[in-house]
Amino acid sequence: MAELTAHAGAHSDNAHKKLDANNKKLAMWLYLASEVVIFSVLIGAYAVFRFNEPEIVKNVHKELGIALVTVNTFILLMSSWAMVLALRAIEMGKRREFMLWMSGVVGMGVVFLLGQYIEYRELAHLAITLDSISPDFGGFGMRFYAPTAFHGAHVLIGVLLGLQVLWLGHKGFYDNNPIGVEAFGLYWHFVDVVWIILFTLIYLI
Amino acid sequence: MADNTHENTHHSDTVTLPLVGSITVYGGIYTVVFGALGVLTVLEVLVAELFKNVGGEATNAFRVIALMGIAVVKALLVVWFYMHLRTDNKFFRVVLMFPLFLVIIAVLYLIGVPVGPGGGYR
Repeated sequence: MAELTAHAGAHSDNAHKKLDANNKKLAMWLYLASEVVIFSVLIGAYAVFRFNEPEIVKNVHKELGIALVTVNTFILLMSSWAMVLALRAIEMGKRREFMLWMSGVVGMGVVFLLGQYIEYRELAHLAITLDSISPDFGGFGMRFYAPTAFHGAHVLIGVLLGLQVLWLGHKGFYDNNPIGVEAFGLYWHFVDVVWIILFTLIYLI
Repeated sequence: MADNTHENTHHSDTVTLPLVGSITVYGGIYTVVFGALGVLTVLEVLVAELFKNVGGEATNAFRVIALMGIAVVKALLVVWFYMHLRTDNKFFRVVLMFPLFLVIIAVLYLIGVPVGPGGGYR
């Protein structure tokens, strides 16, 4: 009888934990849904500009090239892969492995930001600024910087949050409840998804 | 915390793929998806560069549709496997799709608005 009660208690505890995790994930998804709207407005503004001013976009592509941004894209994709492997490691109880992959996520986030900084410097040398009105690049700056800088800010926040996840992970905070890592992972992957769209729309099309 | 389906799918290093069969690789399905993302990115860059200076409206339309198609597949791979929409609560899919659906309608409407003299949308 006592065994049965203990089993029922454990079952109810597991169900409670699962419900709690689902609620936390739902909260993160709702937050990401609001981000979808904000990013879509910025991406939509660029798409409308791209379809109405193809010559200006062609001029920018000629000057800028895609080597640097392609490398940066690979780095962000790799960081997403490292993120799921970090989650997998902590779910399997391998804290040391988790720390390694999570450090990779943070490191690649920093490298991505450095790449973006180099790209912005190149654009500044071409006089492509927020309010540039030159006939070759006029109007591009605002449509380009708004989505890419907003995305860069998300990467920066992700790096800072990643450092916190690393610190808490080091303390053993996620050993029995990795939902915090999963929630951070959702954020990081979302940032990756946004970049996948930005890379294609802004740099390739 | 995680259910059995999630653990079975995401903690195993062995993956069964269509055409290829069963393979074992560190990270399992996550590594396979990463490989697919890498290949698709290379394909994207190739399509963008190879068809860049090929004239004609039809070629340009093909280029744009192909590139956006590849980007959507890449985004879906991340959302489906890395963000676990494949195994998580189905309501999360609705939470993601609802704003996307509204925004797609809004953007299509905006693209359809004619540009006024001197660039009315500016």
